[in-house]
Amino acid sequence: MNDSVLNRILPKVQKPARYTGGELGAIYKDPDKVDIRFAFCFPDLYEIGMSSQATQILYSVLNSDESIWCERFFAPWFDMREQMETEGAELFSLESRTPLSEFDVIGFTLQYEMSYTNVLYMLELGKVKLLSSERGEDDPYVVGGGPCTCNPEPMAEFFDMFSLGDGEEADNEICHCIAECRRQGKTRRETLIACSAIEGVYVPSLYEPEYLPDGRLSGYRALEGAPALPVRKRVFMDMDDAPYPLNPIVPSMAVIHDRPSVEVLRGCIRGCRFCQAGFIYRPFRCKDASLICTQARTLIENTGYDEISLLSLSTSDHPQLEEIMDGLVDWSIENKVNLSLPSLRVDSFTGTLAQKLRQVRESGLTFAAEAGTQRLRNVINKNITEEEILSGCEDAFMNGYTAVKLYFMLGLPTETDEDVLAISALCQKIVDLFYSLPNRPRGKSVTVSASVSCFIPKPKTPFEFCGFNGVEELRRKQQMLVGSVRSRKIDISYHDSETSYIETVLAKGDRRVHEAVLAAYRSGSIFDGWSEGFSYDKWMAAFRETGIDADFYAMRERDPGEFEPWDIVDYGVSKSFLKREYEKAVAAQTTPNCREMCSGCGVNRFTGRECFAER
Amino acid sequence: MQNVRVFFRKTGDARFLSHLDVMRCFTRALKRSGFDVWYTQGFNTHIYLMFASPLSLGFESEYEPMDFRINGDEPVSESEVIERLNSGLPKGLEVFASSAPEHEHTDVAFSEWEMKLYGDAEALSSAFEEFISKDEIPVTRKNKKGVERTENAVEFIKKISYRTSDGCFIINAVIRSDTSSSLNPSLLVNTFLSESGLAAEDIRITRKKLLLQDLEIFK
Repeated sequence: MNDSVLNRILPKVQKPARYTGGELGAIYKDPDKVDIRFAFCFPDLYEIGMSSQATQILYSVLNSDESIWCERFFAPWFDMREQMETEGAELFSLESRTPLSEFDVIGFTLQYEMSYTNVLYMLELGKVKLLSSERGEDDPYVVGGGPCTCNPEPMAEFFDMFSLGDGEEADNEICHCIAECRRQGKTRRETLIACSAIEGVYVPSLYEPEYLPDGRLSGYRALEGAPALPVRKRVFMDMDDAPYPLNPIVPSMAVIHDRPSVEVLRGCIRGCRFCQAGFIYRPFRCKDASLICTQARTLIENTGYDEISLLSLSTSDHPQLEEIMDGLVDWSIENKVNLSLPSLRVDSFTGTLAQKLRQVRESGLTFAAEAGTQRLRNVINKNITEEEILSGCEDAFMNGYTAVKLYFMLGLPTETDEDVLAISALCQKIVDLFYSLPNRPRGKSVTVSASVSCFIPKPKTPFEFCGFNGVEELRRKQQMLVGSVRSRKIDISYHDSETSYIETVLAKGDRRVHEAVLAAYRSGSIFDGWSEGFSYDKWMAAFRETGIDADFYAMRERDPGEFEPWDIVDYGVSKSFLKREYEKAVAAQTTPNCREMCSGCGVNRFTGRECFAER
Repeated sequence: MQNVRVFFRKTGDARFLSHLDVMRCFTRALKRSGFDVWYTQGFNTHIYLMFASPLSLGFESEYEPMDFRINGDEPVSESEVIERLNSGLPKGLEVFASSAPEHEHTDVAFSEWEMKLYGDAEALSSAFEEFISKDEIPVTRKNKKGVERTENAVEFIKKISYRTSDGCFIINAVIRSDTSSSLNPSLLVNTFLSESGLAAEDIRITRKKLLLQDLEIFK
């Protein structure tokens, strides 16, 4: 990008610092002294992408390699797009302002399905051909990673390859493989086949899906030179040995998650049946307590932030939790550092540690109850009881809190109207509890906010066999729920069911769905995760135009024997385990967490040992 | 406890950092500097920082003061302050001096500005000659409530000169910017452009100095 063009554009857009780079920790190299120029693309705004630990980890891992220069790209907001199109400007990197099309490898992180159209938007703004089949010998290789690749198929036609699972090793290996193939003068096809031999790499163009007459998949045909399916995801086992960015990029402008993070563990032992992350990040791996504390201190020393966050799916499940807290709580108070502890149950502590935690913890109290009745919580295997929620609230109220937030989902499998109404009843019980306490905070009113989202049945979970509850049915439930509230102390907010419906199609789609993604993008859909961008009408028109039956993907109950598009990638948990879990769910039977008892999810095929055997 | 006043430049892409962003950058730079900096004593304790005259987003500066405090009376070396802060700042924010404050922030009376207009420099120059020769140059601005107010820009301008250089039209002006009244130089530039009907491809506005009532340099 020409500097004079940028100088002309930037004064006209909102938050121009989104597009300038130059932050503390940004890495600059001499482009002539590297073999591979890697374009890390986050298909959303700068302030979203820079809040993701994936950005920081991959940026640091790739740049730690002298032969690679990784630069960043984010999706320009609507105002910037307009300016860039007026000037005929191409999407450029934040570091060296090089156009996207000049990079050797373009890596997109697919964190959520509603960012799919932004992938096309960024490729096109970067003058890179959208379809893998259209790219020629000199075009960049477009690689996808991140959680959504556990069903890569809806995006498969746009990508040359996917890096499944942990990217710490595979991404550098892909770069080296491409550089080596170039030195050997190999063709694009030969290079793709070479990359497909890397553990965790799936090259879609090497396989052809085959369909039954009724439209369901029957299987895949591997082309010559292709490794056998399924392709197994990459796992980085030893968290103590995992490369971790201790000099992260410090955004100069405020971003959403504006603090450094220490990843404390990967994977989850809980097995909540609706939670995709809980299954696709298995096996459960912990970082040692002393390393966590050292990294936290180093991060604060290197960045100057006054807040740090512990990152995991469930920090309470770290076996050395007390040691971590002992190592961090006093230090954080002494050094005026705010300790942000999401995914931590305070009731797991008693005595002085609990008191200290209250000092450093951010205000507010949140419960992920997920469902209104115990029966439905058993169905989803969410191991929190009403008693625990109420005693947690009582404890909080006695300590001066007056606001409680709860998370719920609507449209869960087996859900009845009784389950829906139980949500407002639970909120009412919390309000009543507050007023029943003789020592409640005086002169203050209580607020119970319930945030109610729409359940999306995701691949690689026991509910992958279920259909979406339906746009209208969810609306009816939302209205019923809001209408059942009898107190002004209760505030219910709910999510738009249309977005969730489209998200289900994109999550569960097969390779044919890419046509709808392309058509939606062509009709102007970008930033679908934003109300400013999402248009249900454009999406529905895209399905009609391409002859894709969205209900076929989103609404259908699937037979556990059916061949699913995501069966071609192996994330550790076996389909037979998911099927067992689904049957138990329907019978409202819970499954103990992995530490209590191994339920045989199948991930130890990767590790060759029991997850909780003595170390 | 001692007061420290640093002066920094805000140049290049850093001009697109808002005042709040700049404050956050300096808060972090001070935190990681290792100096025993003084925190405010309120309920929400934070590092004490004081800026004299906030700079609009998009403006560059070669002379921005910022005050903070260090606990204890042991003198800190100027070069150490400069070095430690600069190692923690983004591109374009650069501390170049550090000393004990000499003047009060309220002593600031004027800013010295350089306004570079890229375009037809000769046309801009001759149009500006006519524009600036008037006794009254009405400029209209809105206050926070959206109420428009028209003032005479001439009353705010202490000194002004202009020239062309390398196809660029450059205005240098000393403009009032004290706590009670000030004139944003972009208001002058925009009024000029709209009255003359001329366009500039790029406008770069840089604060060169902060001045006292007697036009001595603020230190």
